[in-house]
Order: sequence, then C-alpha cells, then structure tokens
Amino acid sequence: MDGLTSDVSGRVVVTGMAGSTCFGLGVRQFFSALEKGFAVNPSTDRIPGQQPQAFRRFPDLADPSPPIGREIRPDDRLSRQLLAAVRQDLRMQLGTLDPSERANTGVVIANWSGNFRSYVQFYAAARTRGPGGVNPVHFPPTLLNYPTAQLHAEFGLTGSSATISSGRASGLDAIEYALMRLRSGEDERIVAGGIEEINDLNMGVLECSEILTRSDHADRVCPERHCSVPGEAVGVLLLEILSSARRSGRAVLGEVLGCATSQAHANRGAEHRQQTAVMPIHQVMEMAVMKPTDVEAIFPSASGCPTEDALEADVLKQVFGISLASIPVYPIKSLIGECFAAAGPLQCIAAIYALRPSDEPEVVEILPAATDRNGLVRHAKIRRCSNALIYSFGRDQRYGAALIGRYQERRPERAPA
Amino acid sequence: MNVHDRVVVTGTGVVSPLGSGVAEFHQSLSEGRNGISTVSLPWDTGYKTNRAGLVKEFELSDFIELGNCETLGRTARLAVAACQMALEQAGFATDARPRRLGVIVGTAMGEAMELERALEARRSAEDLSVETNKIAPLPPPHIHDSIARIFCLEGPCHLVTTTCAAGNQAIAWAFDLLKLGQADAVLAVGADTIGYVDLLGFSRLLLQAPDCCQPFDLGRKGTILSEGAAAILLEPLARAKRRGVKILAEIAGCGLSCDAAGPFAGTVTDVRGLTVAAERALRQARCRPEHIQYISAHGTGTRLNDAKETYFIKALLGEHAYRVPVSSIKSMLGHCQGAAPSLQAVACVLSFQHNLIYPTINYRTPDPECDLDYVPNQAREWHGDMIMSTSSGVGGNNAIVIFRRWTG
Repeated sequence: MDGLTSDVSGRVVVTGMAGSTCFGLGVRQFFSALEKGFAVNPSTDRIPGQQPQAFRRFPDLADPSPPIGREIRPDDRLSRQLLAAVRQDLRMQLGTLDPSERANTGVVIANWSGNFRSYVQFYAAARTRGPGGVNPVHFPPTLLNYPTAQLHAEFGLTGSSATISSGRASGLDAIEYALMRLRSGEDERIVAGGIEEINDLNMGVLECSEILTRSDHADRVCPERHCSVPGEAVGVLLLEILSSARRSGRAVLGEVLGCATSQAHANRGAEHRQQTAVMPIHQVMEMAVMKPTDVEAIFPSASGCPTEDALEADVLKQVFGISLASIPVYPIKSLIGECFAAAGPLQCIAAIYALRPSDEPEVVEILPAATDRNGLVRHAKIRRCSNALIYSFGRDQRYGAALIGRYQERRPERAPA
Repeated sequence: MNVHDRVVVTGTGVVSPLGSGVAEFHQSLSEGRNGISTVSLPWDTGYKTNRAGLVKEFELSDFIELGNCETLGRTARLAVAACQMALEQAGFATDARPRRLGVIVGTAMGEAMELERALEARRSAEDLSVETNKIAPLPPPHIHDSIARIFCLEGPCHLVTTTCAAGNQAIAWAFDLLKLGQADAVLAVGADTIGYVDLLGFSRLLLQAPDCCQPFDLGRKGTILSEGAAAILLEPLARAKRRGVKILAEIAGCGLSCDAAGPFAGTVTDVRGLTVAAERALRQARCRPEHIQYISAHGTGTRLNDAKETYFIKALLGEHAYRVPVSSIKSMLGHCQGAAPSLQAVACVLSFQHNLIYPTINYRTPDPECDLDYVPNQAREWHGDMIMSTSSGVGGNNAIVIFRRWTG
C-alpha cells in the first residue's frame, strides 16, 4: 500500500505477549498452567437458589507494576486488567519506544460485550440518584473503546486505533485487522488482542443458548465434557513488521504466517455454513504456503458445548482428513473458560508457548492422550512444535483461523495470482 | 501489495434528523435547516428542556420489506434502511450483488436504546431472567450481523466502536479491504441512537448545549446529541467501470491515529494525533495539504474541540487554511456520534454532485480563536476537487478521509 514503510516482505512477527487469566496476571502464570497440563480446579461460585457455577475469573489486582509514563488509573475492571497485563509483560518493549516509534505504534483491541458492567452501574446510579448524583468521571468507562484509549494514553501510542466488536470471536478479527494495517505500511507495530469480562450480557446470552455448564467439575479435559464455562481474560500480542523487529533487536517469539476470518450470516444452509467455516483454514494455509499435513498442532475453539464441538470437529476433519488423528489438539478453553474476544489471542499465546526453543527440557506427559467422542486426539500437555493452527468456531456463525510458526530466515514465497 | 489502486463510491443512503434519502438530506442541508428539536425524554437529564436530533416518523417498512423485524434494535433498523438505499443506488438488485459483498459498521454506543429498555424492565421487574429475543439486539455485533443476514452478504463483516470517529474508521477499513482485493464491494456504515447514559454523560461533563449547536461560534456551549445512520457503497474503480454504474466520488486516502491523551482530555495545541492521521491520508491520496479545497469538519460545537480543530487546520495547511472553506453539518444535524462521519461522507459526495458546500448554521459571533472561513449560515457554490473529512472520537481516536471528485 502507500504506507510509510518500504518493507514489502509482508512478514509480521510476534515480539511480545501479555495476558491476564484466571491463573493470574501475566503470561508466565498462563504458561505455568499450561506446563501443569489440563487439570485444574476452578473457582466455584454459588448463586443462592442455583446450582454451583464454575467461573474463570480475573485475578485480584494488587497492581504490582507501576505505570509507565502517564499515570492512568481507570475506573473499570477491564481497563485495569488490560493495563496491568501490558505493564507486566510488555513494559520492556513499549516502555523503550522513542517518539517516532510511538507515532507508528497502534492498538487494536477486540471486545464482544463491551464495558457492560460500567454501563449498567452508571445507568443504575443515574436512575436511582438522579442526574446530579452521578459522577461524570464514570461516563467515559461506559464507552466501548475506553480500554483501548487507556492503553494509548498510558504508553503515548499515536498510531492506528480500533476497538472491534465483530462477534464472539472478535479476537482473531483484531489480529487480522492488525495484520492488514501492518502490511499496508501504516503502522510498524500494533498491540492486538482481546479482552472480556463476565457480565450479565454474555452470561445472559450463554444462558439463553443453553450451553452453560451446570456442573462444577466441567473444567476437566475429558472425552465427555459438558458445556461452556464462562471466563474472563486479557490476551494481547505485540505484532511487528519484520524490518522493525530487526532494527530494534527485539526477540522474535514467532511469526504470524496468516490470519483470516469468515461469516455465514447469509444463512444459505448447512453446506454453505460448513464451507464458510472451512474457508479461513484454507486461506491461512495458502498464505503460509503449507499443506494440511504440515500443521503440527491445533488450538481449536473447543468451547465445551457438545453441539459446537461436534460441528467444529467436522470442519477439522474436512480439512485434515485422516492426518487429523496424528495432530495433537489442545483445547485451552477447558482451562480459561469461554472468554469470547480474549480466547483467540490466548490460543495464539498458547501456540507461541508450543514454539518454545528446543534447548528447554521437553515436558513429560503424565496423562495419556485421549480420543474424544468427536474423534479428536486431546493431549494433556502441549508438546513442542514448529507451527500451530489456531481456530475459532463461533456459534454466531463467525469463524477465524491463524497460523503461527517458528521464525525462519527464509520462508516459501506465495505464488502470484 | 495492492490488487486495486482506486476505490470509488457508487451508492449512498442516509436516515437522519434532516430527512431520509439523499434528495431530502441534500435539500435540508442546502437550505440550512435545523434538525434539532425539543424532545420529551423518559428520563431526567437535569435540563429543563431537552434538545436532540431524532429521526422522525421512521418505519423500516418504508424502505424494505421484511417479514418480522421485531428483533431488530433501532440502530440496526436505521442502518438497514441506509444500506438498502445505498444498494439501490449502486444498482445492486438482489440477484446482481457480488458474492464478496461485505459490510463494516461504525458505531459509538451500539444499541443503547434497547439496552436501556432491558435495564429499565429489569429495574421494575421481580423476575430477572431475560428472554432470548430481548437480549439478541443488545451486543454491538447485532447491527452488522443483521445487515449481513438481511442482505445475504458473504463478504467481510465487522464492527468498529471508536465512538465519534467510527464512521470514518469503517470507510478506512472498507478502503483497505478493497485495495487488497479481499472484497468485491463493501458497505461502509455509520449508525447510532441516543441513550440516557450518553445524554447524561455529555450533560454532566458540560458538553451538551441547552439549545442549539453552534460550531466555531464565540458563544458555543456544546454539542447536541442526535441519532442517524448513513451508508456508502464502495467498490474498486475497475469493477464500477465494468458495471457501467454511475460513480459518485472517489476515496483518495484514509488516515487513522490516536491522540493518546485519554477521554475528554488533551489541550487545544496538542494536535499530534490529528496531524498523524492527516499525513497518512494525504500520503495515500498522493496529494499535498494545499490541494485540499474544502474541509468537512468534525465541528462539534464544544469549546475545546472547535478551537483544537482550528489549530490543527492552521498547523496542517499554513496560510492556505485561510483560503479553504470549513463547515460543520453538525450545526444542523447535531452530533450523531459514530454515524456523524458517515453523514459527513454522504454530504461530501453530494457536494461534488451539486457543486455546493453546506453551511455552518447558528453562526453569529466570530471567535478570535476560530478565525477561518466556516461558510456561515448559507450554502455556497463550490467547484473544488478535494475534500478532507475529519472526525475525532472520545478516547482520542482520529479518522480522516479524503474524497476526490470523480471526473471520469
């Protein structure tokens, strides 16, 4: 495109990640959970008169990391978690940017249900106490783009900015959009990812879809899972064009070989839905110049809802055929819950974990791999690999895929159309 | 690498406080009508009288026949009507639509009205369960999902929520998709309705004017919130020429940035974000600042925004700023939030078609801090070729689109 950079390779690498999950603040806590394997004890909330409910909630924040630059103390939970995670994990990368680099650094954050809690609190206060009883400082956090704006303000980033709410799996939409902006040359690096908190809106949608678990032990990875477990999380990646990463000397954690999304709202029938669901996987493999047999791991959506899992398995079988039996599948939502817009980016972060260097000791598998009722082989621990497919299968007929691989100096070129 | 070099506008649609349909919209703007009126609201905003810009007597069935649209929220309905008009103008009858026709929606508050209806019902009800069809329109994605479902769109379908810059951000996203060949045509839509939280928030922050919106005027007291929707259909030039459809304008360039100052923060002279966005748009349009011949301003009528925007225009254009007309249609429409830049986009296209730029009404007393030509109170004949449309959102988002006259 007509952007500021002359980097025409189009290669985008990951030079940082940040996260906040039920396991704690920071990507390290998430990796520790992955190292232990898919066997956890979630927090269990009990709502009076109802069955115990398993949730994957945000960690309590004691705000261990001091702010960088301007002190931002946002009012809402989402922004606090996002800023705390980025301060924890990306302070080296973002804190050392010079002014011209900050001008070319953007933020693209996805969030499905918005700052619903802040909105409800403001509305309730206004209706109860009247207009004079409401502190106007609490109005900005009701806006959908508030967390993104806070991130810009804290680090002085003046590049592109977007808050995306395309659907329940908006996280991969955000990464796809960030890739587009980076390849256009308009930004050199983008903090891209998703955030989501448990609120009445997403809980209400899950309830009405009848896919919420009623069991407090539905967290286990087992062939006979029940339903979705609500989760809240932050997952963001620092994506950078290759030339910028080289110039800065930042460590490259992996390369985004491709990202694509699709939607089937046109409702042209089951076959059309299936083809639309398959499309992003084919697109990312074409972008990466890879065949299905080249894929070494899959991080699926695997929400835990039996119907969705079965449909998703059908999609994977259609793409991979018999080779699917030899590709390990890692359903991380069994750990972090269904956290909507944050899920896709966290799947990407888990894929980066799988790309860990070969001089680290291999994780010993304690629990045997199990083939579930959909025919997918689920491993209890994430093995090292050189590339991984991330897949997002949405009940709202939105689908997404990303391929992340270990960085290699030379990559096969895509043939011109 | 770009697949297509040039992107053009072939369809427009608008639903606004100044009327629905581009003909009525143009007539109202050119006559300098005021679309803001006193409205009765179900809530207490602290004002003795409530002024807002509402879309009057709107029925979706006047624009499109739909079986059952009860599950559609009001924002989605306005957006669907605007899209229908744009598709009709572009000649995309049902069976002639390209397979990869997409939609990008920009909104600030989503379905605020529906959300607050549900919250109000919950306040007064003992039963806290929420029926499925009542929550369906609540999450923001409901808007573009509905458009894609109703018009059977199979292309990219996304929603961006960058408050008052959302409409231009949708145009920029659509522009990128078309240049990269990832869609055959894209509807870029802006839509918003008013909610209590919105109104009260602006009121309590002293940003809401009590009577009228007076951009750039010395006596300006703030903005007036409004609702509305606008859609423009974009497609690659090569495709439009092949179809033989009338080309209304060209999108020359888009630029995005963020002020990084925080919501409602920043100073008059801190225009680095706007400057970054403008430079990016100008670079894409392959033109220099002095090529801009009219600026469709964000012009909200708030003290800070108008002064800051004036400062930005002067910093960008230098002495040329005093030769370029600048006007704000928010003086007539009010502030339609995320839809505002989309309404500006339709107005820019109409400016090319009618050789007219629309006025800034309610302009009575010049402000020494805002000393440019704001096309006061009366529309003006104009034959320029390049328009810069600016928008800035709460949170510091900036989105600038440059339109070029299509000369064939």
